[in-house]
Amino acid sequence: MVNIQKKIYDTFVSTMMTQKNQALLDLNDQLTALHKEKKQNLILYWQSYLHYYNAIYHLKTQDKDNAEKQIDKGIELLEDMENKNSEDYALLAMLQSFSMQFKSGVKAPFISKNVESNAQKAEKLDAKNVRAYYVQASNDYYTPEQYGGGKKAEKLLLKAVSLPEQSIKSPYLPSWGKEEAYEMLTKLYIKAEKWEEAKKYYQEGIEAYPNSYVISQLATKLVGK
Amino acid sequence: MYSKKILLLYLLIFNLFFIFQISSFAQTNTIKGKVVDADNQPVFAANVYSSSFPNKGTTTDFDGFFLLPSFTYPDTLLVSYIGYKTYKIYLEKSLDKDSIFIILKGQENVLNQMVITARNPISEEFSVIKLEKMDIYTNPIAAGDPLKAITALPSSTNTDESANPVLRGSSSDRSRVVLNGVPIYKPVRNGQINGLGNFSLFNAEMIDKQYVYASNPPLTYGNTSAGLIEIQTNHELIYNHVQASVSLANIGGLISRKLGENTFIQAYGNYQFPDAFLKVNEKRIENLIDFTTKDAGLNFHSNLTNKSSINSFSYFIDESYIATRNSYAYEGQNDAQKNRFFSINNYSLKEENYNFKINTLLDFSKQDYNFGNLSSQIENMQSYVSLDYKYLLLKSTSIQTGISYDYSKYNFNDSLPEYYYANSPKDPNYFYKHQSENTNIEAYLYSNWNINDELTMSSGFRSNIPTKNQEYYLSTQMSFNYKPNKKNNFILSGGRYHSYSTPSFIDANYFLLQSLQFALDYSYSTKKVLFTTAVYHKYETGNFQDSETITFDKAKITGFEVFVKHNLSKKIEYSLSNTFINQQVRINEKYQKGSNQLNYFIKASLTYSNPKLFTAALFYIDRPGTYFTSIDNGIFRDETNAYEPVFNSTIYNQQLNSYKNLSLNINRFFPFGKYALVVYASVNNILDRKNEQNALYSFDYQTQYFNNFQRRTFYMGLVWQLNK
Repeated sequence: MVNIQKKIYDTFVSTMMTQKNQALLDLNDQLTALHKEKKQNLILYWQSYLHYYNAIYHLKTQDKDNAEKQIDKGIELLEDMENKNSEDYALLAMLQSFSMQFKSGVKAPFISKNVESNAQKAEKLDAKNVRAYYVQASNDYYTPEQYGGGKKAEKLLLKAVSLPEQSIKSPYLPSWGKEEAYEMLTKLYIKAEKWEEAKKYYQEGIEAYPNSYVISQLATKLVGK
Repeated sequence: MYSKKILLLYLLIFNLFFIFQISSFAQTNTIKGKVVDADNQPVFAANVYSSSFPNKGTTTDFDGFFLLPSFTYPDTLLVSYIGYKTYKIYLEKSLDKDSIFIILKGQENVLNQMVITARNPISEEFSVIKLEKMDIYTNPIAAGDPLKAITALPSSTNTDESANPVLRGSSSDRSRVVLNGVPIYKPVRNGQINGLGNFSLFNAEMIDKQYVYASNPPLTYGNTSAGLIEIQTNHELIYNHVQASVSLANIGGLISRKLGENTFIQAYGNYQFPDAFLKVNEKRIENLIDFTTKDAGLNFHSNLTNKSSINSFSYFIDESYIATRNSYAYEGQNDAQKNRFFSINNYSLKEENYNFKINTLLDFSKQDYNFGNLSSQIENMQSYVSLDYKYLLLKSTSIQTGISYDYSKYNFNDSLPEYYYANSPKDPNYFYKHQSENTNIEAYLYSNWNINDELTMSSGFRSNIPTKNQEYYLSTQMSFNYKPNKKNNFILSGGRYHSYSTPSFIDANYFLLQSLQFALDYSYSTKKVLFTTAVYHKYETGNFQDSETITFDKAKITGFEVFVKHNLSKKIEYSLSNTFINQQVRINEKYQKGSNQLNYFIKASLTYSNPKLFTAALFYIDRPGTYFTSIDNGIFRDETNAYEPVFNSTIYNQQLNSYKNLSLNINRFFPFGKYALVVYASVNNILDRKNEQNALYSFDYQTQYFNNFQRRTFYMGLVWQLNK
């Protein structure tokens, strides 16, 4: 379980290269077996996170049905979890937000409301949780303007990048969110053609995460601006 | 000498070394320990470290154990994990015992507090069903109507195709619908517009939540002796929205708009017309000749501060219809017209541990009704004010107290038949002018105690403060909610309740009605399956006017319900329910079966939803016909030049045929970017069955025939939406 987030990500990268998600499934089996023995919420958290990556894998391999099944499983684990903490709510909100692409147009605004409510719970439980802000920002960023989106993302992302990756440093706990927040903030400024700000946060982001693929990809859009 | 000195030196060095050793052991040591939470469950992955070397810490294992290899005394030991307060202990010297046992305390549960002071009712855990907007839209029978959605529940025992809530065998006038904290009496429209029967006054787009208390209504509200439907309008707007709809019998529009961060309005209006609907369904609707309805609603909500808000909802409706009606031997047209306006205004203040609300209602209506020699003009005025104060006494206990003032006035200007059976325009009538009014003032105390995670107990007292000649009464209730785990839920409730009957031209007075109720509800829910069952017994007293000729004063109702809903797959869901009601009524000092004796009441639904294709829902109802007292003969009376009916000596001797209705609703959602189009169609009574509604007679009562509920009818329409 040490550095589990990186393990999951590395496994995901390898499955994308091989186009087979067996390694992700194996990891899930291990976590399931572990949770049978040790009833710790943190194990469930990482199982859900793993389902999320499994869903991304299926989406990238054009298998929407399985992608939806995987994300629904992840959501179910977190919804059923008792005594959720700030991290659990933040991940639940992120998974729900991701699941919206599979749900029908009538239901989308209602899911969006759940995302917001869970992300706000995450923030209430820990005001320094970078993921609580990132998920709210992401929900707003991807909510079409006609549904009231695109108004709060900038403020929330600026808050996110000002926070540490983890409020309690630990190799067992999640640290995602800040890198993604830099990426989204840069994208947001590129979209708004605010080039100065875009370059500023690109620079800050790449300094904090020199190996970040997602941030470095944005460089081409900033050349000559 | 030397050797002695060497020995002393040796001893000195040894001792110094020893002392140094001891002191150095005393300063740095290994700390072993275990970390648990308040429930004695091990906390995994908690950080354990000293304040001087925060980076040289360790973490607990799956069983909560840790081993911190080098801790230098004196120093502060810290244990931290998300969701808990960081544990700190200053350790001056090595511990006496082998290991340290640490209990992490949870952070203040800000979420729980939010729940306590939020707008959800204090009695929420004792409502059997909670419906949200989405549940109304996806309900197979509701056609988007909030009260129609309730008729799909097993606890709804309507036998008249109306949207008026009839809960667990009690008459609709005993149950109440409460909107934003105030009662809305007679919450349905007159006209039978759609093939699915009457509609309510409410619009699903305005609604946030709807709680159904099928029996044992919470005593935070009064004037109900059966059940309660509590509806709350939106307190936030997710997005701006414009909607226009057109259907066989209706054109309408709705607009929802944010006015800044903290304020929004929703406004809607509808115009209902008969031509197309009656043309399409020609001959299948036996009685309806004409109808027109205009209605409009406006809701305004504003958060004045972070803690306080106001809401104002106003509604106006103007409706009229003409239909054929039979009364005894006379058949003629009845002509009904009604205007109604009500306005509900609320103020709410939320503080950390208390919540205060003011709810007000003004409701005016005027109706004209003409049929044969009956002509009735009724004016009604209702005003209602309540103050509610909810207080979080302890973390696990909240109490709510309040007072309500409910004033009701009716003015009757009627011309009524001189002889109840002689209704033709040429038959004699008499003028009846009457005013009735009732002031009902009540105070209550309601408490909710979470004994532990599994068990919650609530109790309530509600007493009237008698005005004029009212008699004093005290309503009391007690309920237990036992939730051994997430899937199982038991509610056991009992209590005594009081309400006043609503005057009508049959009886213009307010009668005090009472009931004693016991109910046990159980539900089992998983992601795919919902199973509920309930058993209840009610003892009702008061004046029951079943018709012009039958009055009873006591009723015993015993009921049993069972319901299952199962998601077979992502796209297919079915539900099945059955309800049994044994209704015994006391007429002339003797108990006998009532008109709504139901040995079975089956409701079944099958829903297929595929957003890419369409959503279709089949709904089926099957129940025995209701009982009525037949007219066996007629005696000619010279004074009226008509036959007077002779009723069978056994009350409720005859039964209508069994009621069976299969209906289909089908709709498709087409999104076009900002716009969306919903196309829908429905067929009611697909089997075109002649479901008998009531018995009719020839002029001399020698021949009996039946009036039927709606035969097969079609309805369709489309809704155009713009979200921005």
